[in-house]
This record gives sequence, structure tokens and C-alpha cells, in this order.
Amino acid sequence: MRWGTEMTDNTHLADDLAAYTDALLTGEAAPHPPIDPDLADVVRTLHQWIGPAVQPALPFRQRLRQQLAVQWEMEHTAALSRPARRRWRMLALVAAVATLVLLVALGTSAHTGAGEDLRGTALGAGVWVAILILGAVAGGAWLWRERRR
Amino acid sequence: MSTDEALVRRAQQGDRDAFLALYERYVGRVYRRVCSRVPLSYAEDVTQDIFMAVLRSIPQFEHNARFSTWLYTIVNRQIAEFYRRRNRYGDPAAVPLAEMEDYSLGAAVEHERSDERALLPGIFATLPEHYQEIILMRFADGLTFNEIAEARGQSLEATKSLYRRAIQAIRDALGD
Repeated sequence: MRWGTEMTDNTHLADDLAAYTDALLTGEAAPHPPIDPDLADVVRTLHQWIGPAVQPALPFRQRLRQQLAVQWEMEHTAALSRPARRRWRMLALVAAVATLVLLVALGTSAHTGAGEDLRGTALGAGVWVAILILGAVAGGAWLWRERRR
Repeated sequence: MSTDEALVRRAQQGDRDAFLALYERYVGRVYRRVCSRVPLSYAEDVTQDIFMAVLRSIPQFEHNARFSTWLYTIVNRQIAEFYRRRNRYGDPAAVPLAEMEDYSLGAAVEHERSDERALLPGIFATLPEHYQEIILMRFADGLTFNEIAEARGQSLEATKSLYRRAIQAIRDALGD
């Protein structure tokens, strides 16, 4: 039964040491019976070294909090604006294609008017100018928006 | 009070205040863990690096582990990175543990300094990882033995027994 007795002793020792540590960390009075003074010394030293009383200095804490807040805005605002940017590009593309289709349709109908002979498939100069102006405006608007980011 | 996981989810949706709440909750624990492994004069820098890394990585946290487990992985990685950088750019012959004896314990409150205290950081660094971890969980993180047992998936008795062996290992090393 020696093994069993040793087990019980070790369990008691572990319980007492844990109770001593709890008391020290919560600021209560040390429990009785006192534990091995050598082990108590180790626990006290650990408590002083990395116990709850060891805190980062308040100015450092506040400075880091502020830095994190700023960094958060930089990282996560940019990440959130990415989908919006993609949406805008898609809209610009759809608008450009729609404008092109509309202009081609207008140009074609201008050349297939009633009683008028077909004189080729080329669009009139006015329609080309309109396409160029619209293209330039759309491209300019897109570039302006990209630059603002 | 929100759980860590709830705060992480909110942070992942872009809620800055949720992230800052996590920072407030963990900055002390992270700092103490850093102090146990890094000379005190570098502890603030390393703590800062850790939280910057957390800020960048938090969108990738997948909730398949506790937030604290994931956070302490980053703590360990940044501490390793600190020593890598020192070896690369500083003098390779530097012995950080010797510095730790000078700095960390210099700040160990206003108690009279003993040889034992001066030796502790060096001894702590040589302990098996599970001994170090249980000591950090109890002292640096402030977890109760019940919470540690739950986190480790152990019985309370096994947890206290492991703790006793860890303390005894330090005592034995100090006695050598």
C-alpha cells in the first residue's frame, strides 16, 4: 500500500500548493497548514515576476490602443472599400456597353430611314463625334474616381 | 460581458470597438507572457508587434479553436521572430537569458533581490513546455485551476498535480 499512500500524500501536497497559490494571487491570507517553505518561495517569486500585478505601463497601453485604432481604419476600411470599387467598375462597364449599343442603333436607324437608299454601312460623322465625347466623359469620370481613392 | 468569440465575430465584420475590447482584455496577459520570455526592455516592442499581427490576421481566424489559443500561437511566433531578428541583426553571441536576469527581475517589484530570483528566468526557459504553460496560465493569464483543467481537458486533480511538479522542477533546478 506504499504506492497508495504516496499517491495520497502527493495529492494533498498538490492541493495545498494550489490553495497557497490561489490565496497569494487573490490576496487572501496564506492557508494552514503552511506548505514546504522552499516551494512557497518559488510561488512567491513567480507571483512577483509574472503575476497579475505586472502590467504594461499605462502610457504604453494607451499609445498602443491609439495606434491599433488608426491601423484598424487603414487596414479594414481599405478592405471594406474593395467590393464597392469592384461594383463601380462593373457599373461603368455596363454603362459603356449600353451607350455603345444605343449609339450604334441610333446610327444604323439614321441610315435606314424611309425612302432613303442605303449608301453603305458607315456611321455619320456626328454619331462618331458623339461616341468619342461620351467615351471620353466616361473614361474621365472613371479616372477621376480612381484618383480620389 | 461579450465572449471572446462574439467579439472576434464582430471584429471580423469590421467592428473596431470589438477589436479594441479584445485588446483591453488581453494586453496584460500578453505582456506578462512576453515578460516571461523576453528581456523587459524589449517587452513593449514585442507586445506591440503581437497586437499588430493580431489586427492583420483576425479576418483569417476560423473559430475552430479558442481565441486565446490562437492568440498565444501568435505570441510565440512573434517572440521567436524577435530572437530571429536579434540573431540576424544584433550580435549572434548575445545570450538573451542573461539579459533577462538583468532586466526582468530588476522590475520584479521592490523586493530585495536574491540569487534565486535572478536565476528564475533562465530556469523557466529550460522547463518542459507543459510546465511553462501551466505556470503561465495560472500566473500570467490569471486562470483558476478549474479553468486550466477545463482548457487542458484534464481533471482538476491532474492539473494540480502537474502544477506541483512544475513548481518542484523549478525548486530542484534552483537547488542544483
